[in-house]
Amino acid sequence: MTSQDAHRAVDAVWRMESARVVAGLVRMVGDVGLAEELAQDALLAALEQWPESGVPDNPGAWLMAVAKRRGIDHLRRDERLDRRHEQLAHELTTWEDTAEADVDAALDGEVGDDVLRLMFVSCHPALSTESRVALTLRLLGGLRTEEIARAFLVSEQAIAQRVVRAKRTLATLQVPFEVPEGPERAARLSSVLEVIYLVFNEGYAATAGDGWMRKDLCYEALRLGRLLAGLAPGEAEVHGLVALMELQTSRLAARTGPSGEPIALHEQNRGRWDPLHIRRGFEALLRARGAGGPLGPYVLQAAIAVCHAQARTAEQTDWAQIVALYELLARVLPTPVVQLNRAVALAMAHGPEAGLALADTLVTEPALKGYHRLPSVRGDLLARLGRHDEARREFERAADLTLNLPERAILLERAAACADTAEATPGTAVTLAEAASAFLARDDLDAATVRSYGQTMSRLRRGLGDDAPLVEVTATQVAEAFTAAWGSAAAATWNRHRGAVRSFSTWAAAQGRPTGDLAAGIDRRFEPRGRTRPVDPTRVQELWERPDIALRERALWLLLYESAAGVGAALALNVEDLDLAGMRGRVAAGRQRVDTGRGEVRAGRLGGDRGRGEAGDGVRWIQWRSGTAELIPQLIAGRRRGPLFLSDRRPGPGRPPAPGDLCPETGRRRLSYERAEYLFKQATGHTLDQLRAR
Amino acid sequence: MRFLMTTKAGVAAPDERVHVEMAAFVEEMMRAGVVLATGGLDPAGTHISASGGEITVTDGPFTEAKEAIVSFALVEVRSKEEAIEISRRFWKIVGDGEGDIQQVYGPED
Repeated sequence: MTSQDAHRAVDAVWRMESARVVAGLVRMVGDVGLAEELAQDALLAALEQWPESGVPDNPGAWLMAVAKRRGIDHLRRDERLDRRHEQLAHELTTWEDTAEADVDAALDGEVGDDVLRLMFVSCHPALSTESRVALTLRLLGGLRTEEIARAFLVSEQAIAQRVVRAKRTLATLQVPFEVPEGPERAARLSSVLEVIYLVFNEGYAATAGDGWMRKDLCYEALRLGRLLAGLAPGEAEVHGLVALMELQTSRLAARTGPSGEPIALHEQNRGRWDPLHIRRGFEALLRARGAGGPLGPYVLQAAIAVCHAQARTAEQTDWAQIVALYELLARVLPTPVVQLNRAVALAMAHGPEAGLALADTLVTEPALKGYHRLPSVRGDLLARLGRHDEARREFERAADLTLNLPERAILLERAAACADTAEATPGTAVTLAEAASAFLARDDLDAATVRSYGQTMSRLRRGLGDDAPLVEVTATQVAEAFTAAWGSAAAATWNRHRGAVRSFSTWAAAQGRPTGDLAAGIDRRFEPRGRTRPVDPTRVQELWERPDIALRERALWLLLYESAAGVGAALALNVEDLDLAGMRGRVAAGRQRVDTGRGEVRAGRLGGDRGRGEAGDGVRWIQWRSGTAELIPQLIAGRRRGPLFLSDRRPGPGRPPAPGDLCPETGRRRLSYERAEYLFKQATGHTLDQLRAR
Repeated sequence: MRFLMTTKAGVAAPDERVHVEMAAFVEEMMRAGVVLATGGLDPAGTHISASGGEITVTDGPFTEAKEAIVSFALVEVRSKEEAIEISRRFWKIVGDGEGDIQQVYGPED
């Protein structure tokens, strides 16, 4: 090991152990400043000895033991040895006699509580915010002064002074080394959370400075958050903060472009979001909800982040839900910034007018004076409404206010685009057909999206006319064409086309050809949210074209797809219960008895079937369409009764099926649920439920 | 920084004590957010190779069983040294054996 390697190894151990060592020492010596000095002495000793002796088995206990010995030496040397110090030296000596095993136990158990106490002390509200941040990073994060200075772009001396001031204040106020109880606890805890989130945002917001060290601040804040969550597991807001930070961290790689320019959430490549952080964010939010209590600001912000993380594309974002969460958030955290974010959500959910109305109320807000996002948001909304001159002025104002250079460049570009559009004469207006072609010719869309958007655009062109000037297309016209085309389609189909229209509006605005929100007259439809995800419609189409699918499978799958009936109900169909002319089949009464035990479950599932009709006499029908109707006669092949879907073989002697599951004409049994699932899985990789869900 | 830690075949089967200590260690690391994912691997596995557009699939086990990777942990730490320190603690519990630590690059690296 070179001395540099050894140095780095000691450094790594120090970062992992210092919080526990310092916390344990503060409990013993009662003074943060002295404890830290002792811990630093131990670190120096490690740097001297470990390169020779190797890293000890329990480095934390080693550091602690050495720190304590140095403490005794220090106190004995001190000429102003007063009674307190004498007593302290005595305590330390006694403590020295305890076996290392006890030290281990102390480090594992009590020291956890000590670390929590240390967090509360270093985030004490009596300290200035910047002192709290510096002290916390140093004591709990194990960062060196120069590292903190580099991260916050201030001099080392400034950080050192903040730390010294903080320690002095704590000593003067004789802040007790404890986790406060009662009403004080909540206030003190929120001070701890604030410091952690501040560290995170310092890294995340990247208001200035270069990249890599900033990202480390995010990870440092996450580490502190997780540490706190482990020590105070009953606090919902702690888990909420961790969830929020995990979800924001998941977007780190996607939120800046190649030259460092920020990329807005709805334009980010979601394939670059880190699924491991997203999963941990979801888990943390579940723990927050499990801890109970009223919904606090961090839990609500995390819930909003979850809405974004759950949307596979920006168009699928559930903005109505996000608006609802922002309304709750505005109640517990009534700040102008929250209102500004709510305005953005409102614009996405209900159109730019709604968002602008709220954003306009914030213009006189003193807290937002100098905040570049207010003019930037207003500029965006004004541009979407076609008010280009005003939009340009807002973008220019935003560009003046931001400190981030790439962001300034983007804002100035947008201002220039607005100026161009405002000058353009109406005579050059493009037609709907031209705009649609240009929209689909973008090179950032994948083939499946182009196909899907293409369907939407061609229906709109048919509805409104290819020659309709784009500027004259209104949301009302679009809504009419939309209802005519997809009014009776499944919610997912409706929402998919709606997403395409919204994407088109956004694109047109970015091209300087604002249309307003063309989807304003189209409400998002509720999609049942289960674990079941529908099979992609294009994949379903490919399925029907495959030559290798047997008649029985083709008929069953088509029936499930067309009827949306439950798998169990479909398999339970009998030949004698079919109404071929009416393209429907009666669901067997008391099917659960026929269905050998598992039918209970499947009968329960039947309750949600959208494809079943219910006649007045309580008879339930599965209704299919022409595709299935064509195949069923071939499948029946002259049979008059018994199960519609039969297995390939006759049952063996050992397992006689229930009489209702046996075909009296062929001697074969009813196709089992398991077999049907297996065949579909083999052919497509999906489950039958996914075929049925749309 | 993310690192993938792997262990190779040849580690003695864990006794009760190792099992308990290991579980506690992994749990602590999970809670601290250090371990992102971990698991044991079937040493036999399936070998797959692509050459000139032709894909060849061969089911194990293979002769160089000692080289087979039998467990892994994906960790998130601040430095290579921290990954080494975690690995050191792991081997203190497990005993004799060998493995590798490799940095994992993501889209942002």
